[in-house]
Amino acid sequence: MRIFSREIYAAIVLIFSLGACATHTVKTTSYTPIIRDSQNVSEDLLLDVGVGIFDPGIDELDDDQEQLTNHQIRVAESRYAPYLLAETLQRSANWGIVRLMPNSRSPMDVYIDGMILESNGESMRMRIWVSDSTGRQWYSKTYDQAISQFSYDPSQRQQNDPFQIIYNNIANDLLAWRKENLEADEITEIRTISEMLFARRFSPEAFADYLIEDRDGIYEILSLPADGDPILARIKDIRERDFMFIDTVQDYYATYVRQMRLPYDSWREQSYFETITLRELEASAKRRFIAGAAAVVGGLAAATQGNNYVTQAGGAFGVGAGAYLIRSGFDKRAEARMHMESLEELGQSLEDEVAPQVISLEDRTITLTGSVEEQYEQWREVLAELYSVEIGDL
Amino acid sequence: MEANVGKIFEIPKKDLPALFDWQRPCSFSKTYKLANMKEKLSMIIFRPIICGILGLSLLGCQSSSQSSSSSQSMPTPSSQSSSGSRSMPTPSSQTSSNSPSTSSDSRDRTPNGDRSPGSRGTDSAIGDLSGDNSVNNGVFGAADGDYTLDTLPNRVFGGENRSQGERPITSAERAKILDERLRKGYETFDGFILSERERAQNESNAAGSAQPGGAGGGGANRPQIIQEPAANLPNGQGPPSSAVAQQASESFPPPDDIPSGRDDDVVARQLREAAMNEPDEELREALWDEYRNYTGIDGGGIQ
Repeated sequence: MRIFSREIYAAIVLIFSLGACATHTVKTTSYTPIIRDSQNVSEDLLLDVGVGIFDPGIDELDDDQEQLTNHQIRVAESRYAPYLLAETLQRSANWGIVRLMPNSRSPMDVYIDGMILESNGESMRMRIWVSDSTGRQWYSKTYDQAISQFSYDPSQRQQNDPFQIIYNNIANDLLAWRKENLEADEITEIRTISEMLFARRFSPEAFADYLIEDRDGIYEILSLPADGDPILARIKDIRERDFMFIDTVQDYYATYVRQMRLPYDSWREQSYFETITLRELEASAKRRFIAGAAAVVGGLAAATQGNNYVTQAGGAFGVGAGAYLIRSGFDKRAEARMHMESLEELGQSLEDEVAPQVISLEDRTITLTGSVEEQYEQWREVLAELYSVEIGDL
Repeated sequence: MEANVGKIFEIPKKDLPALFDWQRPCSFSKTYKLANMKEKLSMIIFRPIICGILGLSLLGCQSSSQSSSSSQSMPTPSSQSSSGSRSMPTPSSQTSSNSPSTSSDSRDRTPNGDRSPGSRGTDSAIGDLSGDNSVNNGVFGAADGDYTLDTLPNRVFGGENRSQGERPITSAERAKILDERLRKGYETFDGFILSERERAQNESNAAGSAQPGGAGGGGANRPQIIQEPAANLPNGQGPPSSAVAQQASESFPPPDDIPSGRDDDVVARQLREAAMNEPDEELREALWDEYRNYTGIDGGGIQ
């Protein structure tokens, strides 16, 4: 009876151990469409959205992710993903202009920032922060999606990015938040503050007193310039130019995304299979280690403490079986390592292709930004002189 | 010896140039004394004369090089000098009005682009322009002084070097000058940014057309929006999904009478884009009419 209860105990431990090792991955096969605002919103109430370059999230990687993550690819993705998000938001027609911002100098009504937490061919996870020009934080949320092999089907790929659902979900959440939390007068206030912030950037002496910032960094409007304010009219002209500059950078990013798409998709598709195989092999190896160890321990107990021949023989058999399981676990781990190396090679291949594109993109953006900023500096000086001239007339 | 005496004054033709060569020894030196005298004579008389001629020639060369040193003008506002001492960093070589090391390329020009008549032959790189900087006949009017286009506005604004009895510039005139500078800056900026954008778009299209299936136009291989069915929208007010898909992706070509739009300014560009993206035919035509009116194309007006 004592031996029987011990064997039962060992079996229960084994079952629980194996059960704990089981992993479940929920994959999305349904498509979440973008919701378009049913109400016809006046153009004055459409908020402009700026999407910032995402944080690659390299500092957030744990040891396991570090092994599987190519930093250069993650940097490339941190420019790829926000472009797709901006494009999705623009095509939803729920917003004014939506642009991927080269920097944070140009105030936009709504600003979206993000961090990539995980990205391989099988799943993607990112954290999104949304705020507006008043400084108010709308919300932050983590989005993730695990896709099926179907997403890489050429017919599907021709229409959408494999992880398009993430971008659609972000767009839908953004619309829902705006509709639930913002009234028309608040939207107007956000837009006015954006304009005043831009004006203050170019003519601080003229527009410094229209806004006040509280301790939490929230802007409020104290007063507004008069209708037909000549300096503000000039500022609006300059802002049109600033949008043209941002549009030009947008074209840079469009080129970059188009150049990256083909090798990146190829990498993601191959990584998808490698990642799944790797995860299955690692799980299998883990299960075998645990089961083998349990069998060895139980077998040893039965072999040493058994009081009859059958129990001792069974214990010896259990030890042998456990040893076999442990050895097969090592084999699985070696096989997993091969797939990990294969993933690294795939990553290196893509890195060789996209890293120069990232550098080229950055170079062009920085060069254009520098030229534009130099011109802006001259306009600031002229505006300062104009302000002093016109204030002298009063 | 006799033969030599008879040939004292017979100078061979090949030696003629040597007579005028003050560095070579004289060829008709029958005696050492005569030769020595000639050498001294040449040192005393000829050398200063030749040195003088050479010096005058060099001076002539210098003045002519000064004349040619006034070259291209920078008509953009970026070429105008700032009121302070900070040098302007645009590629079009802005100069600072009080920088002594300003390039001669932008100096020695009147507002009309001609070399100043009052130039006194000084080295343009020195920037000695202080004496004749007078302003008259309005803001950009013709001037008697030899100030430069670059230095004019600053000196006008700062009221420096104004001759006695001249009318000080009014605030309105000063604002007008500054607005003109802004306007020229806009023109320069628009030209620069539009050309850069055109280049970037061409590259983007080339990158797209390099993709399998030709994704250059932005149609295929691009994330498409699947519109939520109308039933999911509140009150069922959403347009049919097919219409929305058309709205989201379709671009309508401009009418035949619409030019390429290469010279469009910001407003015209926005009108053009709005018209090309407008699915409603009546609204689209109204936008094109607005575009025609704005750009001055004949036949405008809503029909």
